[in-house]
Amino acid sequence: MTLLIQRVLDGLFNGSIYAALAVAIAISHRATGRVNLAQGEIGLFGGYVALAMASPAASFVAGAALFSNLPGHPFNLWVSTFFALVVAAALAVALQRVVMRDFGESTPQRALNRSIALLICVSAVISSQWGGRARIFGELFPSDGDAYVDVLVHLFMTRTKAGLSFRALTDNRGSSVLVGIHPKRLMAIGWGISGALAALAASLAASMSLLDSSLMFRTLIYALAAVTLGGFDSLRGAVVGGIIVAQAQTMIPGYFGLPSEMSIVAALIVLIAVLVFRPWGLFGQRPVERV
Amino acid sequence: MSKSVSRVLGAGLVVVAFVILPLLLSQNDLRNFARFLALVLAVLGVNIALGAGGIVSLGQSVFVGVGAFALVVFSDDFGLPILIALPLAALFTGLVGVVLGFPSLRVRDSQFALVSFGYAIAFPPFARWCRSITGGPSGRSLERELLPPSWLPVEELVYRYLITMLVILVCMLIAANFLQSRWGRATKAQRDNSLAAATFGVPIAKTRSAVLGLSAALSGVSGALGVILFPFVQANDFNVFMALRLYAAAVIGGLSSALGALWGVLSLWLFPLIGETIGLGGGADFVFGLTVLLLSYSQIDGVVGAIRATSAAISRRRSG
Repeated sequence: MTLLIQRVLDGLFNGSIYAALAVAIAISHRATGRVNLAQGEIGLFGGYVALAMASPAASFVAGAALFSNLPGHPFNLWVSTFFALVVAAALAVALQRVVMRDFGESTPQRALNRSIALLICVSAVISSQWGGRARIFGELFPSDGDAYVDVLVHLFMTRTKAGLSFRALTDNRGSSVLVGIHPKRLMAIGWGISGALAALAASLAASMSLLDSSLMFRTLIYALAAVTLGGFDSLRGAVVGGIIVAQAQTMIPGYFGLPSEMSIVAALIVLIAVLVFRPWGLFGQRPVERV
Repeated sequence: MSKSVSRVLGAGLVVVAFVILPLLLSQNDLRNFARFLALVLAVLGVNIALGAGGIVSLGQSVFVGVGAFALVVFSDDFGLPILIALPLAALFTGLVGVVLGFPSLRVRDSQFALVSFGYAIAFPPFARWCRSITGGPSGRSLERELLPPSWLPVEELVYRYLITMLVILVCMLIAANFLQSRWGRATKAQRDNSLAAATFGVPIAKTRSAVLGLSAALSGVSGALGVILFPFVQANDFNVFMALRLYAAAVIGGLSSALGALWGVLSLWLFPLIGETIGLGGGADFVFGLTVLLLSYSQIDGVVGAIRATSAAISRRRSG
């Protein structure tokens, strides 16, 4: 019984990580209608920024000279993580403005190539800047923190004017522009939030294990399974999906005697099964085709 | 380029590869060159699946890995000669490709991209788990060696090099013929408009499976040749970075022709050099990403498209 409780708690812990990245993917999917595969790497960039700020011997980063001159260095991990969220949000907005401007409007193939190109570029920058060695990130207490953030995002989307405009924009672009909504600014807000959430996911994942350059690839698969399970456009679905996937991740290897890294195969099977049998997920809208 | 010119050029390349290079290069260089050129089949796998079939295959590294491990299993565990194990490994990888390609018959192409990306990420842990086949995290070496027959007076490594070149040539010809055949035309028809293709009697599911099978088998041969040339294989070699690099190479080479794979593999060699020269160090991948990014803004279909556009412009200028 204790073991079961332990596993459920572990699952919740992981679930909050996957939920954060899954919500990030869902928001940018809402904004553009496409999956941004580079989402995880944008977050990972933030994670490394947090580490650079929090570590006293910061000689391994190019930007560390800047941080180390600021008062209060090395910073508290919470402060650094918060700063990392801001940096990742800024990076996401910049990328949206410069390279992903017509991500939603171009052909699927072109958009996919663009997000893969971005993934390769960001990952190359990370590995050339911070190298391949895994690093200790330190302890964050995530489950609570992440739940608050998810609630905040939900409140933002349902209660504030910007959130509602964002939803209107993604629902019906033409009409919302006609009633005076600025698509550019809202796109930037959407991408910024998703960048910050991805950085949160990266920091939490790093505090669970170690920060290394392939950390977010693993996390990305779970988050993709979660967001598919939840239905691509539903933020609530993404959170629930994240928790379900994480429970499966701790339960299946735990009770079937498989090594823990095999749970990635379980996530893959969930992803395929949902796509094949129920492509609109648990909370998504079933597409209706008019004949 | 007219047909006769390209034919002469192709024959010239074959002579260079089979006769001149073995005389010029040292054995070690020959081996490295062959290992590198074997990747052309992996890139060709992406090229055929995406270019002809319209199926995004981000997980091509998986098939390279399956081919490599299959060769080791067939030759060492089953005791078959390498020249028999090689086609068997290709066949087996093709079957794996058909099985893993099953979701592509059911889901949209943009979603299969996610699935195949998942394959690429999940393969190394999965392969490490299959300890008895892959040797776990520490990898496995190929015990049996490919030795030249007694009547052929060449060194071991030169013989392996020649076999590699021959296999690559045969595979390229098979792929080119496939694209010209009924199946190839059916493949392109279902890519452009699957409903219209189905109306004209193209069996969509079978065609897509065949393309994925061929694509996987080609990549499998690439992996198997890699092990023959360098008899050690490890699950971690076939990671997601390799998958991304293969995909980028195929896009950079150009997707409208099988020759694009050759240009793509050239970029796999050239880009790290460029990256080092301009001081990016380990950031060679950055050059890949940037090139794919720039290509996604243009209408040019990689190197193949650029060459075609240039030669068209030249001939237009000549004719007035």
